[in-house]
Amino acid sequence: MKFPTVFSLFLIYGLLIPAANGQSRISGRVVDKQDRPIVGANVYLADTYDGTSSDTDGNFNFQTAETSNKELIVTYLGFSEFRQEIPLPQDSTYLQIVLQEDAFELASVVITAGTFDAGEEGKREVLKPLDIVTTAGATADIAGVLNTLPGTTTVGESGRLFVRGGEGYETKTFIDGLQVMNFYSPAAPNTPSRSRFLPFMFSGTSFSTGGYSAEYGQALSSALILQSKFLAPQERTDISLMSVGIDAATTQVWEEASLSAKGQYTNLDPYLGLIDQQLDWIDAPTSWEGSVAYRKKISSSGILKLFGNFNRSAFSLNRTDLLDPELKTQTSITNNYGYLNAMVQEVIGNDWTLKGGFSYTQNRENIGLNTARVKEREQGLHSKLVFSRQLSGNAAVKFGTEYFNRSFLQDYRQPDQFSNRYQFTEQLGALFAESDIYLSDKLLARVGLRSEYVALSRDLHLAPRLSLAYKTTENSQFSAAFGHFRQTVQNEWLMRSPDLAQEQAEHYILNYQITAGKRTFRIEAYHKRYRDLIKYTTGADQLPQQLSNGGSGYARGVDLFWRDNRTFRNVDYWVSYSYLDTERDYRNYPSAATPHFAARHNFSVVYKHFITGLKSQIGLTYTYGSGRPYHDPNRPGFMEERTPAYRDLSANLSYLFRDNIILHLSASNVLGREQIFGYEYAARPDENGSYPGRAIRPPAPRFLFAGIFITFSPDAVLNQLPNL
Amino acid sequence: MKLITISVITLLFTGSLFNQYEAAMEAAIEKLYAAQSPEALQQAGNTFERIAKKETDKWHPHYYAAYVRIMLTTHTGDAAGKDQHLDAALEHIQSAKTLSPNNSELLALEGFIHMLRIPIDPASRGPQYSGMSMGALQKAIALDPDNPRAYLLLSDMQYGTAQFFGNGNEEACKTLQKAIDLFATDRPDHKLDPAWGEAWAGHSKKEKGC
Repeated sequence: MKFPTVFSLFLIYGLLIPAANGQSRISGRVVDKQDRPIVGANVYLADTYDGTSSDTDGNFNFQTAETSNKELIVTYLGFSEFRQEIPLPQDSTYLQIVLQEDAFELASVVITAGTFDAGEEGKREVLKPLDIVTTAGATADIAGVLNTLPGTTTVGESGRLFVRGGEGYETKTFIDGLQVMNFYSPAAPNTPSRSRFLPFMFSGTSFSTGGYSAEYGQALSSALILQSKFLAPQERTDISLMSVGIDAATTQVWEEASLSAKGQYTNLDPYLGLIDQQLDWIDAPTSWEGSVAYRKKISSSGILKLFGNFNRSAFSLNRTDLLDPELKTQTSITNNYGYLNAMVQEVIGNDWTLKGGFSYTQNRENIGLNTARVKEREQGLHSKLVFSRQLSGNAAVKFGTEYFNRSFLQDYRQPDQFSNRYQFTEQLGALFAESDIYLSDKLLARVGLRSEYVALSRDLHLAPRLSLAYKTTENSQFSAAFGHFRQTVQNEWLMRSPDLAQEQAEHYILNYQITAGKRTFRIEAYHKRYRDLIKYTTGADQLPQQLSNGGSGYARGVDLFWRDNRTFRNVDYWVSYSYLDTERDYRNYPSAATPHFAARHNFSVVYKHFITGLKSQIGLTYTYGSGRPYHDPNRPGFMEERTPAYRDLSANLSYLFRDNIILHLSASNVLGREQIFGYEYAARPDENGSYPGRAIRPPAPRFLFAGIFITFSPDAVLNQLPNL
Repeated sequence: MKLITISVITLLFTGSLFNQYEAAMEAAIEKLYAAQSPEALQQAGNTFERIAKKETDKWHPHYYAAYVRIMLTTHTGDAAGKDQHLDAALEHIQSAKTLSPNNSELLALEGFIHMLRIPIDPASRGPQYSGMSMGALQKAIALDPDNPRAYLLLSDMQYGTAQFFGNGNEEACKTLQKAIDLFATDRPDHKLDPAWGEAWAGHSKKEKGC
């Protein structure tokens, strides 16, 4: 009884799967576009176990017992997936399969015109986040290290990024795509201001010196695009003791979220007491700062980032009047700053990525000039929504919308004499679309269009952007970019004349880059045209009047960059040179002239040497800038004078005392060269009919810094794991 | 009678499917451990990737697919190629983690992936990835204090860190000895569970001068 049952079972079994004996054979060959075999491609039928790998000639061959049509799938890393339905059962099927390279995954050619990328993962990036921290003279300031790259002019009295003949305000900063207003902390006269955000926060930095994506607007010259880090990898607490203050930071980590908080207090009083200053300080700069970052994984593909920063800083000093050295102007500044950034990213369906968020900035500044009080209040909201998707292995598209709302108020009071108040609210809406298209695996095009509507001036305009990259050899490529850029005029003009149109710039960029091993060389030529720059006349009261968009200008030049991390063991260095030719007729210039912030020749060398035996890294940075123009009212002509050339050699030393303790020393202008940034002159002549003037120079020949950085992390706990 | 017949049919039917998975996995694992060339590794990897696609609720195929990608990095010279394999490996680990949360073996392999990112560019990747690797390995040990592979990988991390900072190898050796002791008694719960590492531990002991 038992035997026949089992026997009949086999019969039934056979009836259930009739084709079990009738195997279908599937064979073929997998090749790339050039008909070269792809070895090791995974070839299989969807939803079955049946499949194989292609052999050294790209051939494959397997059998299946499937009896209904199935999809054949072929996959190989770096290529787009191949799918085709196979009719089954069938005695034998032969297929010649050509896999298409997934250009996005390979990123064989990338756009480099106008862009310096610093990231952890990328292949063609010229800088790493760590470089920002270890560059001498940059004192861990983002703008400080970017100022060692070509295309920038070191403007020592400002510290900001002056890009390719553009003024400091022409560079805008974005964190996770959202605008940051008032990126720099207020600084004492003629000392470089520092950016408010620490480089450690960011996993990627993209510094564009022109021709950037249609996603970014409201910047005439340059976009600094910062990508903040996502989940913190581990819990840690950091304490820093510095010659200028203290700070403490802590990070908590959960399964799918992390929270970091940081507090900092700086006070330059003790330092200024030790080092002789040319400034007559009343209260040295002090600041309180706090920041919080929360990151959360909201689904398998979704992320949430929240970041908040608060800063309060103040200082006061006496300034000597140019006409009467006995007369002192007491100047004080108190600044309260708040920044909030919230961002969500999620994948919708299978293809679309949605990124949305907003940033809010509030800046409140109180300035005292003897008895006069100036109050400035600025707040701005930027919100953004971006949709993006990859259409195939060789095309991707991105589009989105933005809204800006910014209000500004300036209140000037001279008790019992005079008071004045300016204010405006600016609203701006933008739409943008951009597509990356690999025309071949050697040629990439990025085509973008941006449209903005400015409510104050009722102005609607279109700004086209175009970039191309062509791969010439395995390691080298040409890149070109073109674009239109617009930016609202500065607050001091807009508050007087709210219907002023946007200032405009046009960029043309040509770039060649070759990267081999750990060496990079790039050369970039550019031409930039300015239109609708602000223009005004100065009345007897020294105040601007007859404001218009009548100004114009140009900037052209060549930038060279060389980085070598290979030739010398444990040595990394880079060399930058920029040639800049620029003139503009703007503000109250009587004629076109090179502005005071532009140096014709700019040169810098950054050198870093890691000495393993001493567990130390030393860094040297040399910066040279040819003389900058200034106007001496006692001499004929306009902007005809030149300052002496700027030279600076900065040095730093980091010593790893313990695995978790670092000692750091740095000094600027080690050689003590005299540095003159320009000259300032009295607005009116003295009794002899000449305009008294004085050199603008740093308040002390050098800036010295010392710090101890201590990290506590669970690694230490890990090291004491019991019973090892 | 009829009932018995039907249940036997069901049993045989599902039984055969069950065996198909186990048999396919066992065969592939055998090929993996025997693989000497990158081609053979790639073939074994392809098999695991095929099985992972079909058996959407099983973590083992993802684990081995990731393991193959890790092994393939040793046959790839350029940094971008290594990163591509490690990216693919991490994707498999992430898929596997959703199928089998709090799995010590998966976290150990994740720690391995992070660890392999470091030598590609030690100066700039070291600080980030050593933390991530240590974190994952520490978690792997917390989940299963008897996982020899987690200790083996941790000893490698400790050794690398000590080398970088010019410190001694005592700590790494202690951890390695713990791994070796555990390998001696380690018996997988399931025949598909990972069993690699004992030979490597022995080799590592000589290499580290323990």
